[in-house]
Amino acid sequence: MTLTTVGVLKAVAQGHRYGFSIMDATGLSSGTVYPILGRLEEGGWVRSRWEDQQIAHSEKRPPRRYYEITAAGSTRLEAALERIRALADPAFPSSGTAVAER
Amino acid sequence: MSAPRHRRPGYRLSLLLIRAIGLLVPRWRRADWRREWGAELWHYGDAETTKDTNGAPGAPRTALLQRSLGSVRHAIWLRRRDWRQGMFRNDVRYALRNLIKTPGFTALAIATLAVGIGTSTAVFSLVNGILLQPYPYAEPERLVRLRSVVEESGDAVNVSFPDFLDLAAGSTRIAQLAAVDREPYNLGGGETAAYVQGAQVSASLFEVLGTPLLLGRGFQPGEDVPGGPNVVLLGEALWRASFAADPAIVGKQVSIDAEPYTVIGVVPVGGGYPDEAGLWVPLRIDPGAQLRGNRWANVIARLAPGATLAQAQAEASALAEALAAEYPDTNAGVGVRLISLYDSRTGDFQAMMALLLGAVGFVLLIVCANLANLMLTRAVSRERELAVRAAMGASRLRIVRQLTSESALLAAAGAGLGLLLGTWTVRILVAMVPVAIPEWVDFGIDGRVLAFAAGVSALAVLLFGLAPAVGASADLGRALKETAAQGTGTVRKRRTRAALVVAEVALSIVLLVGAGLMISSLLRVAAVDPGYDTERSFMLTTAFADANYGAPEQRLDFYRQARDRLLALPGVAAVGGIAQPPLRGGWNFMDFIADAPAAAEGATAGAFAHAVTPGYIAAAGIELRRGRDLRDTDSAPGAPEVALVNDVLAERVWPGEDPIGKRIRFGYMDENAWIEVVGLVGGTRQVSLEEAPAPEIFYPYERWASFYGRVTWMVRAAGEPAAAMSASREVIRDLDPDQAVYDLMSLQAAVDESIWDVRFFTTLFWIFGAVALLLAAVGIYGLVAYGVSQRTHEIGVRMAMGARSGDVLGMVLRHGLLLAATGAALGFAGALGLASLLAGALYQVSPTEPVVYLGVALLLGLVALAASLVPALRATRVDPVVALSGGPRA
Repeated sequence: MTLTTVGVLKAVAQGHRYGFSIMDATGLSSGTVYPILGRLEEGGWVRSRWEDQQIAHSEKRPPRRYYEITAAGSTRLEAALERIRALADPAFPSSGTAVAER
Repeated sequence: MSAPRHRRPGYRLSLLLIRAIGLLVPRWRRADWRREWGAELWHYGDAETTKDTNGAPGAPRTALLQRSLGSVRHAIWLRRRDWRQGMFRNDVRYALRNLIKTPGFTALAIATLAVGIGTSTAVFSLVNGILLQPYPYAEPERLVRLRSVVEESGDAVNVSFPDFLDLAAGSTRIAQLAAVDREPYNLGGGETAAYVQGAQVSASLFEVLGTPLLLGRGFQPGEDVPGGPNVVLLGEALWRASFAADPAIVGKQVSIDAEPYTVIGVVPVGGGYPDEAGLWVPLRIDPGAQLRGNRWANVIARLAPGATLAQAQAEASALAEALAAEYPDTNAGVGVRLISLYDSRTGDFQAMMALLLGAVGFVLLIVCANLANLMLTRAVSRERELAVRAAMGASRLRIVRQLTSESALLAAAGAGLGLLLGTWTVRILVAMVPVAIPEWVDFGIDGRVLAFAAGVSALAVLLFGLAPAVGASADLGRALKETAAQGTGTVRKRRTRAALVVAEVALSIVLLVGAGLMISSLLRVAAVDPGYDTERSFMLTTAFADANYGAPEQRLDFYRQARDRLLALPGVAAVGGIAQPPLRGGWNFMDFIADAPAAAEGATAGAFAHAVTPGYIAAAGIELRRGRDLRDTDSAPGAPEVALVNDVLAERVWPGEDPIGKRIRFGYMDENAWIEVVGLVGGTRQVSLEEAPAPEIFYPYERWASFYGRVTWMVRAAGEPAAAMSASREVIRDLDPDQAVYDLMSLQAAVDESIWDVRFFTTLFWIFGAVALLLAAVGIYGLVAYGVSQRTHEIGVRMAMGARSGDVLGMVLRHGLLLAATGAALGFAGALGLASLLAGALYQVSPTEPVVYLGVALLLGLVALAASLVPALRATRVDPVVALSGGPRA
């Protein structure tokens, strides 16, 4: 999972439910966010629904498509964030040699 | 979209943009996509308004437009993903539908490919099993066989034990050597007595081979000396079959030749040497008692690390020269040759396998030509369909992909079926091999065979699928302009198809000539008179265990008792014994001197020396031309030495004279000792059917009984030998349950076994020839039939103008026969060039044997005629009225 994908998934997890609000939250363009959302949805990490038509109608606005994280996506996100935290840790890497050789 | 009208400037323009960009999105998701983007843009404008603290009117027009344009990337992404996922599925679905629509074509194409892949996979499995499989030894490339070479004749022979020891001591390029001597053994006793081929070997053998044992340990240095312990290593197969894979076998005692031996280990399948050995015992001989001229040891060696075969050869040659100088009596003119174990094992097969692979290549080429032709014909008849697709916007790439997917589907089906066919073929072929195949040789389908089949299929797809596909899609515009009735394709394409058929015919001619030469060679070999009665004579052999039959009298006594009982069996006409049975790979070729004018000048000659008992000549069905057979009294103490000779010897030594009463002696005998010739017999073939009878001397076995550790009873039945054969085994078992009988077989079986390889390879060539001919016939038929169907209109015109059906028949037949004749001319030229490659495999058949070439020409002519006749007859039934009105085609 790329860092960008983690960013999008995290934004969804934090409650940014619509395409544009995810764009605003992550600072990514629509050309990046939507394909990522599409792939996340295919992978089962995210699911999308349409707002209730009646509610939207009563508020005199078009219904929006919203995205929410799934349980699998949430587990996956935790694991990804854990890795990122480990990478950010100044003590990383613990053994050191592998990186030094590269 | 039922969104309320938005007050923000730019929103409507954005919606229009989204509608337009939405056209990029695959149709099935377009509505959703537009809805989502429209809603987002609506809210974007709205949200911007609420954030607008300056009272400015919502999101600026430019921001909205920017966001709208951002949807292009999303739309393109969706389109590309859909294209990638959907196209493959569509291609396959479309190709399947097309193939099902033309079941005749599909079945023919798949069958052709399956036959091609089946035969080539079968041959490749054989090549893979024999030539490519790695030997199960450690670093097998360092293993060599070391042989003595008689420089005068170039014959490679075994090594004498003293030479072996000297070479081992003097060599630095060779790390280790081991001497091996094959021996038959009687394993176990009583009901379970069994004959086992084994070997007595230097203690170093398993270190030379580098084989890790399955159980126990190998031999140790002190064990291969006279008086060494009775220890034995069992082969895995024997251990499983006779000892139920007893895991505690090490340390147990087994009976070998009626003596107790301690099992010290188990050798894994393929880890021993020679291949056919089932058990190994130490070679416990006294080097001091060995003669330097007695060359019996099969020597296998491991090159020192880093040493090359050439270096080791140079060193061994130098050592051999030193030995020749030191022991001129025995070693003058005797060199040493190192042969890699690989070459030594596969040498006989390498040339044949190369020929087979070549033949398979031809078959594959024919298959590809046939398929290309099928695909071309199909592509031409589909030109209009493809042109319509192109006109509707299908790109050229799309059409090529479509045609290629059809080829790929055909290739996959053909490859699957071909693999099945190949597996069965291999099974049948292997069943044809009557000799024991080493257990580690596996002719199964392994990764390499699969890779080969996949490679061949992929190549076939490229060759027969892509080329016609590109050709077919090249000039679609022109195709559209042509009417269906005229759509015969361009002249160039017609020529291409004709050229393909001509090539097929030419290639199959080459294969047929090869097959024909092999078959006539086999027929000549099989027609050879071996000099025996192969129909009614059979033989059985026993190896004497030293413990019970150490003395010659004991062996003779056993032999005579068995002979008498065998003679008493119902239906048995004659029984005799021989030390080395014919056509079983053993013989004794000895120098002899004849008491004749030519021999007086010191001329000696070699002859097969057969140690036989009285009755053998009659039992084997050898023709006694003059004189008498041996008698029991001939071997009585003090009786004069007598022998029989064959006509080849008599004619060579005493041409035109009666040999009875003449004298000969073997090279080793005293100058005053002579053997009197008492009988003249017809020549027999001892080594192989291909080898013409050489001089032979039949002398009494009884005088030499101590030299031979085994005897073969030759039995001649009065009628059908089957009943006597099964009863004979019981005779030996009744007499001594510890004596195992082996090689119980009819002489016909021995003859068949001796030519199995000729028969085997001939069968393969025959199969290739038949397949090639069939494919060529299909090719001719296809082209001629297609030509007729395309020329229906023309034929109709001709018939309306008064052409008779005979004229039409002749016209179509000429077309087919012309193709065949052109191909045949090329094919015969090629065959004349290539047949010389077969020369080495042919027996009394010249590579230019006219009968074969004539036969092939005749066969091809008939097949071409038959293949053209069906469409030709169909052409004669064309109704001019229907044809001219554009009705159904022939």
